[in-house]
Amino acid sequence: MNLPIVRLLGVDKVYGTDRVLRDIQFSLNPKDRILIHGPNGAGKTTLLKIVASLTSPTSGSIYFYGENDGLARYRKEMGYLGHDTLLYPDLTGEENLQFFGALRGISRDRCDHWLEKVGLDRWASRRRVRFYSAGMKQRLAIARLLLHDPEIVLLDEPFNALDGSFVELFVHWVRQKTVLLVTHQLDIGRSLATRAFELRNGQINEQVLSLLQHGNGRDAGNATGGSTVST
Amino acid sequence: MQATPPAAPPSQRDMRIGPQTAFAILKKDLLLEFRGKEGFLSNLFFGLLVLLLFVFTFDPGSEALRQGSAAVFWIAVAFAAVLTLGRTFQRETEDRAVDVLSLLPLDPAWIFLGKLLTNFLVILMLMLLIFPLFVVFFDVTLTWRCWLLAAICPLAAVGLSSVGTLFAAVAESSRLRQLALSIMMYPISIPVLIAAVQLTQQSIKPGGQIENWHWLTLLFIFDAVFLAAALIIFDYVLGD
Amino acid sequence: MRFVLLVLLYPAMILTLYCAFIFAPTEAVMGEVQRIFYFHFSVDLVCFLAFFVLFIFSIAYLATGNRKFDIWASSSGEIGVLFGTLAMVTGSIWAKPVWNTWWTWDPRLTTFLILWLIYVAYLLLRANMAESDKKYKLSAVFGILGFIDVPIVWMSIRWWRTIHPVVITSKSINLDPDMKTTMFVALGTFTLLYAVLLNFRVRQRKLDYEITAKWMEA
Repeated sequence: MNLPIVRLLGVDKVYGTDRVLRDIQFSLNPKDRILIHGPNGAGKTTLLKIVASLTSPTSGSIYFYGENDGLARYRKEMGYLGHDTLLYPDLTGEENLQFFGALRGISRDRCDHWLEKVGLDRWASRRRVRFYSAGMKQRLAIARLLLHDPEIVLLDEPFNALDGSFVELFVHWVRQKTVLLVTHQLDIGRSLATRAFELRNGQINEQVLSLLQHGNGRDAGNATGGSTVST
Repeated sequence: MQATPPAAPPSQRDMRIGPQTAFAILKKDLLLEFRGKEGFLSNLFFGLLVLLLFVFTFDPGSEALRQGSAAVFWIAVAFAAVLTLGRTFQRETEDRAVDVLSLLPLDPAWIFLGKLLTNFLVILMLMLLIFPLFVVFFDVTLTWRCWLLAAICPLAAVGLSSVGTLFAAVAESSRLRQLALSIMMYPISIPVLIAAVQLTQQSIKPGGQIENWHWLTLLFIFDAVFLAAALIIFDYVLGD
Repeated sequence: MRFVLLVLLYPAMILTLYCAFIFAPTEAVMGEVQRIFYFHFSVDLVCFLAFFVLFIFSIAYLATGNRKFDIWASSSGEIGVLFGTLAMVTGSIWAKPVWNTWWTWDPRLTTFLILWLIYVAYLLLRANMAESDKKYKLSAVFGILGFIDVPIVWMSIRWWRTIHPVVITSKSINLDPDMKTTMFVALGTFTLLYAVLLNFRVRQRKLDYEITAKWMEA
């Protein structure tokens, strides 16, 4: 199937008096693994939220599977890892996962399986998430993300607070999926992505992946400023 | 590309997923309500305080207080209920778990229904627990007419929870938060309070008949109108 | 349009003042103070009209998502609260000498007060939300629910107040034909005033919106 999963045409997003995104043209195709980077406040998270169907554009159109009613199918097949952990601090790790599982009709066994997979042992999974370290929270959030085995994953800074070996494991898990990744950690991002875009002042530009430099987004943007490819 | 085939045929799963979601939310919210530090017990205590404030500001045992006792009970319930309602969506937004809920492939009315059921049950429990305290401190003589309360309390709880759950969602976007909920909810739910107070007064006053059944009708109408309105309108309130 | 209305408003106001203070005969029992009734009656009815307009435009906003309807709805709400406040003030001034009290819990007054509370809540809600589509949606939701509540409030208050003895009942005034004419002139004028205020307020809000949009482009 050649239809893009998500297609944005001339999308603008305005918050109050701030124009966060300007005239974005963007497609996410099956098996694409796209990296988006850019300076703080460039609108990366907003773009991800629009692609996730969490927020709607101020103007412009967005299509899921090229249809007007593709949204339900899209939401079934998509997993979203947000900037916040999207967890309940006063539930235990186990209760959190079982709740999110119940929302999608997923068995307890599968929840337990995922707790184990992300390395939260019996003791840890029975503590309240409020008392978790940042890394443990992120691991639980990843278990939540992959619980329903989504075909498409949207990731907002997923590597923060994770140790190196777990990052490798996580990258391995999502490698077969369609990925949209927002991150400053370009070296990890580059190992996963097939294409890269820079978001700057609300505008998006494709970049040659191999020219992305190690380091944070700002450096990469400057270094490749001359070689950006307009989309 | 194909998604991994779901366990049950898609149509069947879609049918079940709504009620399942509502039930999962009910279960989770009740768990949080009785676990969190600022949960149910604090509300109950607050309700008790309101009850006692009336005793202290009136002359204890005075005729005025005796005559207005039904009103005092319902004010205590209304105050405690707003605190409960205010948490409905706060616990969802603390770490943005609400994003997961709004990305579910189902009609958001089911999410609302789950929240509404939770609030209904918690408000009903508040009533059940404040009432004995009310009986003790206001020296209420219980007669057979008290059975009427078994009808009044659930009916009032439906009204308060349907208006309150909807406005709790609205209040999340306001800088006033809890205050916004009170400002919106109290004027709109005045009919519920009037009807509940009238009926309660009749069911606890010594002697006399139960009259004015139309107050029950009024509660029914209020519940039906606002339950329907809330379910229809909720779509516009969730999300951004 | 709004300038035509404005030009019409001036003579209409003068005519209303003339009718209310000179043309209409002095009421036999209440005396001169009764003349405030013409203003009270008019702002009161126009207040209901304003809330009804708010209700209609709120539905239109939810149905279409067109920002214009939100501007019309909320502007009407502002003017409605203003007129409602005026109605209560003029009513109190009238009631004090006539009924010997500023306020009475009669069904009409009570319902009106609750209505006023609901729409003040509407304005407070709007004043405390960040400017966004969500704000317009939520205030439309509240505007609609508030209006749906009115008949239920009316019903409950009527039953509620008939249980207790009502100390003062509002006697119907025996209206002289000239008084009736004055009433209608006043009602017409205040409806016109409402239309003028609404048009200017909407115009102002639209300009504000356009300037913000232009400024954002730059």
